Amino acid sequence: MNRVTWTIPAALGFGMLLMTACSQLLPASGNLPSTHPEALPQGRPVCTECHEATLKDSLKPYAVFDHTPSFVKDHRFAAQSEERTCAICHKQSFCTDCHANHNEIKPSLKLGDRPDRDLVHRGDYMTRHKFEGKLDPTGCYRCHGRANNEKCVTCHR
Amino acid sequence: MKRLASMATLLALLLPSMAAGVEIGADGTTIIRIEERSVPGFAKQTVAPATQYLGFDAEDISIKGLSMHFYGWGRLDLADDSAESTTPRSTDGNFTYGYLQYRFDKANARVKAGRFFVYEGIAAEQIDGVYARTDLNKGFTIAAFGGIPVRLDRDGMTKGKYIGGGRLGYRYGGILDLGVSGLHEADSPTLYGKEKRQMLGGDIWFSPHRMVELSGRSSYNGTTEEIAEHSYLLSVRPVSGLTAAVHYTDIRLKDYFAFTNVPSLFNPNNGDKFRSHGATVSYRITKLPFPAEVSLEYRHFKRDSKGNSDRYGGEIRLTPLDKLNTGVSYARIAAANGIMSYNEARAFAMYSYGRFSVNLDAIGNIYDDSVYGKKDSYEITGGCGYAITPSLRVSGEATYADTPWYDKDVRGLLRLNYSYNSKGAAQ
Repeated sequence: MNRVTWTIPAALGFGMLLMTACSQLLPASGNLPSTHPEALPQGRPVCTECHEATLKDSLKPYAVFDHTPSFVKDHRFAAQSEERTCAICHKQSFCTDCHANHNEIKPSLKLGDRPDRDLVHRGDYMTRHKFEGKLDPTGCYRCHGRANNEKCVTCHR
Repeated sequence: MKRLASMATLLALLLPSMAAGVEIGADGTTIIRIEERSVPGFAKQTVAPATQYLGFDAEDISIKGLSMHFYGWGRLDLADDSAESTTPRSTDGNFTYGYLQYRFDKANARVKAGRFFVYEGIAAEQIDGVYARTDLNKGFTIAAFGGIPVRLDRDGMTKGKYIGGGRLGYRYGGILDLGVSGLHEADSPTLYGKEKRQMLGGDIWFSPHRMVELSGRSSYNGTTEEIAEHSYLLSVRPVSGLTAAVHYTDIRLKDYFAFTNVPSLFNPNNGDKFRSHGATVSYRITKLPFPAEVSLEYRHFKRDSKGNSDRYGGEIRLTPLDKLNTGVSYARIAAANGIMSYNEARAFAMYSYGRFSVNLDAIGNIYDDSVYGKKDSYEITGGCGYAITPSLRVSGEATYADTPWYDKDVRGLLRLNYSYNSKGAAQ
């Protein structure tokens, strides 16, 4: 590990700490809660069943976070700017069930007792992956393009 | 595996000292799978991998707002080596994340240090390093991270030397959220050797009316100096329960795939473009006669090298009884020449009564052309579970499948879930 390797992250770290400390001096908004105060029922949560108007300190309507089928399919758009809102209900391990650099058990098997969850690679995916990979290779790339592809390279060398 | 064991030991030693006044949560899942593998030309294998997932969270350690989070897994093969890889191992493991976090008492400000995942605009990275974000005055937000990227696979040192990036955002009262993000990774492995990986991105959330919402992002590959991606989603909610969404995606594969470590799969040299558009409509009934949700989906895919393909289908989810969730779905993939078209149907049900639960899942495919002499496949999974205590649950599934790969594929899985929270509530 050379000096440059450590100097840059250290400088970044120091800068971020300084930036965060300075932000405390600014009149800014409050905090989102660290956790949801009540246990949520099983299944896709619909925030607007209980909440109205806007999620304070996020400045977005609750309806934005309703877990509709299109929200579940395209949740990356929410994740790219709302990680702290996701963290109210989800631990990081919820994300890493599917999105990790090394997952050994496919999500639909690990969570086999939750057939209601929209999980990838159900059923005879060994056959279907040949077709779906040609149809939309970008969908494969997001999880397997740079990581979590040790099984892929046993055939695709 | 050794690092994972060291972390688990360290946590066990730290637990007593942290226990006073600290909210501690721990969750674990033990999964034992049993399979018999028989492939012509190879020795018959019986595999029984036992995999342990372990998560640990401690809130308000010594200081209010300071927390620690850990997650990882380890596997031990109880019979033959189970790993389907070029380098089978009888043990394996992964230290997924482990970090300290401090949440300030305002401005949604937080600092993290350790191993964690970052999701900020264009960045979706696993790093060993530091991260900080905060809201600023006048609607601005800022997030930054830096550190060492986590190795991408175990066959070589496929990672860059260091990585840094961040996102600058601007929010305007429930109408607009704009972000500019970037990342820089030094000496990132590519097909042609080590290069710097530079990505820039812009993201948007725009809601001019409470019923209308536009989300999306564009990214620029600073290394190839070309636009890599445009992805946008327009959602409309005209009445309660009804959501209609249209999406559009345009990706240049040579710029999107530039940093793959599996070029045989994600060939960045073919100059192909991928475009997709489609729509999803869903309607949710919350009351009479019982909760239900209907969704319809259409997607059109276009690849320069393959042609046009379509995917369309729908799903109905019903909750006829409290604690009974059911669903049926159908999809048709009408693919371009050179890609197989097929039909897919699925049905599932899950029911819980007191401490008991049962679940059933059936999925079938009918292929337009035969694969290894078969035109159809199906898989049926049945399972049950029992909550021994509110924090301890045992469950298992048995699966029977008939596919082009196996005539009779029988698998079993046993799962033990454990969760603990020092405040007394199961997680």
